[in-house]
Amino acid sequence: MPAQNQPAQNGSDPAQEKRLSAQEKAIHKQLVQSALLAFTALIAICAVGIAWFVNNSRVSGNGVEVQSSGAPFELASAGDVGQYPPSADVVGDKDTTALTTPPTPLYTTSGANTLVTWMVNGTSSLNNAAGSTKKLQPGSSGSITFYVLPKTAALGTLKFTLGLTPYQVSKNDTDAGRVQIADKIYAAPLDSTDTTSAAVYSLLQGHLLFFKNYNKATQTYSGWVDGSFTQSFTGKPVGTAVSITLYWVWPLQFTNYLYTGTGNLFATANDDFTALVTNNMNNAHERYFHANTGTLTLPNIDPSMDATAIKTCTGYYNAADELLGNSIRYLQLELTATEQ
Amino acid sequence: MKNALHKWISQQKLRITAALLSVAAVTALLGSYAWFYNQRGLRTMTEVEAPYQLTIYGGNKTEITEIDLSGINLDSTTRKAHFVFCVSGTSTEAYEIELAHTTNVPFTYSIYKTTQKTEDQQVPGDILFNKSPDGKNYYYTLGESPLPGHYINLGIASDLASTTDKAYEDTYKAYGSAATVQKRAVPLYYLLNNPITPPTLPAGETTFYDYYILEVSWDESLVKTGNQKETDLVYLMAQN
Repeated sequence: MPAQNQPAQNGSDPAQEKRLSAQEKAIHKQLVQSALLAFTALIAICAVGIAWFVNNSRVSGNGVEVQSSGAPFELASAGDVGQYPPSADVVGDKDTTALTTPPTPLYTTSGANTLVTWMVNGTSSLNNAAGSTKKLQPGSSGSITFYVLPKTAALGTLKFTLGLTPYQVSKNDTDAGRVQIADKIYAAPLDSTDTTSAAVYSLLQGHLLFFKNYNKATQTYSGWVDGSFTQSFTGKPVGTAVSITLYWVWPLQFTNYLYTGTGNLFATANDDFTALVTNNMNNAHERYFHANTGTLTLPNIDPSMDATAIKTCTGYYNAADELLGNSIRYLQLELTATEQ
Repeated sequence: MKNALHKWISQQKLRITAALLSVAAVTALLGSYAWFYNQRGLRTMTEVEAPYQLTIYGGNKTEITEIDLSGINLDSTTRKAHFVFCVSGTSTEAYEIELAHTTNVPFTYSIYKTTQKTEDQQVPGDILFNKSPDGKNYYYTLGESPLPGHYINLGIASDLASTTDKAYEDTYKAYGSAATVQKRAVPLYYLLNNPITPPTLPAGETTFYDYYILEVSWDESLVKTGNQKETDLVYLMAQN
């Protein structure tokens, strides 16, 4: 007799058993499919990998050269010598292709050296050009020139920032930012967190002024540079050098700011006068005046000031000059250019 | 199919957010690095002069508030009176000496360069300075000729200041016309022609002392005629 109706095993339902095995089969099928896919991918990767490794025999490493893929501009200067180059300074790459008229060798920045020494000469430096001494003091003035070399036709506007850092003679090895000026002479920047030194940093902004233009006939200035200025280089061809000259002055006395005309800062009470004297001197007086003792009580500064007010301001201005002269032995000027 | 995708996205939200954030961070980093990469700079340094002072002393470095010009005896046979002063300082820069005086009394002023000598070094004709706090006498030889100088604001008359130059205008315009200003109250400014360079100091010394004799002289007409009771103001200035 054939065994047809076998008794159920373990109390399980034969119908449920059939469903389970159907699910199991579906999962099993998915797994197999995924596994196959993964395996195929693995084979492909291995194949590519091996092919690359095999090709490696034709790759020889001679040393890697990294070339800066085109900064849009470089800065340069022309001159005989770098002045007091701090030990970290680097003389830029010498470029003797005729970029200037007359042709002058230029020392340029590059991708490898983005901050280089500003080469100076008799007509372009931060040394005093008015008078017998080269050192800076109230009444000093001069001009300093630099060049912008566009490296791409798409160069737009550049922003130039001027940074002045006062240095004092340094006797301790541990002074922060110490640089060697000459044999056995070291200098370190003033600590800007110290109250008096902070005053010196501020006063430098107001006593050492930079201008874009100078009128030799009237000895007056225009185009005041208040820390930074922008200039457009659109249309300047690649391979040329655009020269920019900054005229700097340390005015001798307060009345050089207040009075206008020949020998003073400004020829007339123009926009520059308004910006510097009327606005800046009144609103940022820590850049111009210093009180040796007590607090600074300034009268309002405008052309109609009376003699007593002028005398008060002159006293504060001269005290500031004296503080600057006593606190600073070396002065660093750093020009930074960035694309706008 | 679409539902399955949405379901998958909502399940993986956290991972997707994390992935996108990291991509954004990397892009930002690359972007700012590129900005720094395009910055260029030039740097130079210069030296700053220390402020220095010039001081005017009397003979033998005596501190004075004024040069005592009293005791000018008009009966003197030489018709000259001499006073000693000293210019002292720490700078190596040349300085100028200027004398300003009103013109009530027709004196002539000259400045001679001299050196200091002690009592035992004196020779006849030396100028005496006996007001030193140490009580000693010091002597100064009067040179052959005074230091050359000139008046910088002389007017048409040889003994009056100009009333037409800019300095006069700036100073006295508040008073109206020249007629209202006492002509002999307007000072004459006498400037030595050549700035004087301080002497090179021996090692270890920082201050120099340059001695001078101020000679006040007059001619006979003053003794005879008058203006003997007038007063003048005399200022002595030294500046770099």
